[in-house]
Amino acid sequence: MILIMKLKVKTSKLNIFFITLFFLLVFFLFIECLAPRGTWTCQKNYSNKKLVNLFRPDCLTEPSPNDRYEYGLNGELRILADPLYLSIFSPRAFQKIDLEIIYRPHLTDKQAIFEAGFLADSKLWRYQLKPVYNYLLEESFDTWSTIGSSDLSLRQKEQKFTSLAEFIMALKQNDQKLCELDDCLALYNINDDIIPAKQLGNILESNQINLAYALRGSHQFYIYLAHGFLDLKGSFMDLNENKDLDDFELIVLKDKQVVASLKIEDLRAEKELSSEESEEITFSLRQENLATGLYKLELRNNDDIVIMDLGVNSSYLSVINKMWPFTDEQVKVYTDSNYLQVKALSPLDLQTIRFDGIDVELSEIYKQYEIEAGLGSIKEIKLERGGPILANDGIFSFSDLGLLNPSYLRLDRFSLKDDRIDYILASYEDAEPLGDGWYRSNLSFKTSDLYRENNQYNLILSVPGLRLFDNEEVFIELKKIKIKYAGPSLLEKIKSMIFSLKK
Amino acid sequence: MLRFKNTIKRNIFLKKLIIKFFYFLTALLVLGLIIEFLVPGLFSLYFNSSFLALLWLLTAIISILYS
Repeated sequence: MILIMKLKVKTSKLNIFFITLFFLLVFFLFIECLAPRGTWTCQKNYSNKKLVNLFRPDCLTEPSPNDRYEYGLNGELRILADPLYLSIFSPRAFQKIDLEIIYRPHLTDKQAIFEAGFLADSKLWRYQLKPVYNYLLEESFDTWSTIGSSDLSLRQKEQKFTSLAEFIMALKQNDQKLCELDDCLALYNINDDIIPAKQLGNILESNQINLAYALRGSHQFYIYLAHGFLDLKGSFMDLNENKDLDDFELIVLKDKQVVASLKIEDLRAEKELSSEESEEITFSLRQENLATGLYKLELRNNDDIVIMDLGVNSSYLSVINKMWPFTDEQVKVYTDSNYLQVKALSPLDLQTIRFDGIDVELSEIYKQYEIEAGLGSIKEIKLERGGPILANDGIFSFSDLGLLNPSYLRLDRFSLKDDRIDYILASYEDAEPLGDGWYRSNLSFKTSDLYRENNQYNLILSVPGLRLFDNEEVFIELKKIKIKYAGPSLLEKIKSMIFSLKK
Repeated sequence: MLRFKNTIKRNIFLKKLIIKFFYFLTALLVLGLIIEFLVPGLFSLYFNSSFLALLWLLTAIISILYS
């Protein structure tokens, strides 16, 4: 009898123990999900592999692709090729992300920039990148005289200006003492809109321009409307090679504001993944009462869409940064950049390409070939046939007079060779040295600009030009990544809700 | 194995403990299912669902065999 009584007491204690444990876990997960203080931190310490992170262990996933990184002797993550992707868990939406990275850069003039950022647009795969370490600003251009602060600083080859205001004024007035040649100013990590717009020079007079070759996938163009209206006509085709629906979307922007748009949903009979080509579908867009000037035209499509024809009442149709010609004919285009990146995705696209008189044989698919040209404003690109993807930081056009680029030069890994550059305007905070070659950098991002899916943000670590087996002495060692989300606390949210109800 | 079987048969408390643990794991897995539906990734951030399911299966088998 006593034994049975004792057992009953023990069993009820067990019940209490498990029920309490269960509700404690529910409470813990509830608190983790709500983040009542308005902050939530995720960190990964690579330097000590023995120390298992029990708290939020997998909030930062393993990097991918696997062949672009390795672990060092002390567990530090070594970035061997560009770029590296990671996913970060976030329990709810916050307003800001503070990213702290502790790293040791082993960079050169050719692989000079280490940047980190998050996916901002899942459709066009645009990332918002911010500088972590810039070898050019830290080492190569360190001898240039510098004025300003980390928010906005000016580096000058020869000291001509004593303040930023004086420089901006000279830029505004297109002062002769500023540049002997065109494009003497390079920008780094700042938007064109905080400084006076670049002078466009003589604008060609023309009423109509058409695509010279069909283009595959998403593209962006600069167009110049001289007559106060937009008249755009064209046609596209759906290749149905991937599994997603292939909506066609076109937007026209003036100073980042949408002025006209068009969307055609994929309601076509052909099935996705069938590789059955759709018929050519025509589209047109007309918009009156537009100011004369420069506009940006964006075709926001996936790679199944081929723009067969595009005609617009513009003097220019300059392709921005990336061009994917889709034709069996010979392709001849022009660019204003002094380098070209080429990638072939199919064995049929392998060929010899000529850039500024330099012949390069594309002999491997999925390999990114990089060709550097001499200095000069316009370079010719010749392809035996369409297929390879062409990319650089400049503009492509179908005629040598059709290059319209309203952007200033960007400071990149090719800038050291560019003798034209006399000034660098940058928003860059010097990395904090921690000793023994290690640095700490802090970056801040607004989450409203970023893309979040399944409670995860996509982090990218990029060192442009860093390729496997190119130079084994060039890599980045990562010791720690810490991500801190911040936003209003639960109390602040409740208060704002009450205030909004009262109103 | 026979010794383990006898121990469980004799020790009523251990049997009760395994049954209670089975209930606890069931509740935890259901909770995980709900949380993963509402906030994908939160439950799996702290719990290894495969390990929990394995434990659940073991406790279920033991409690069925030796009840």
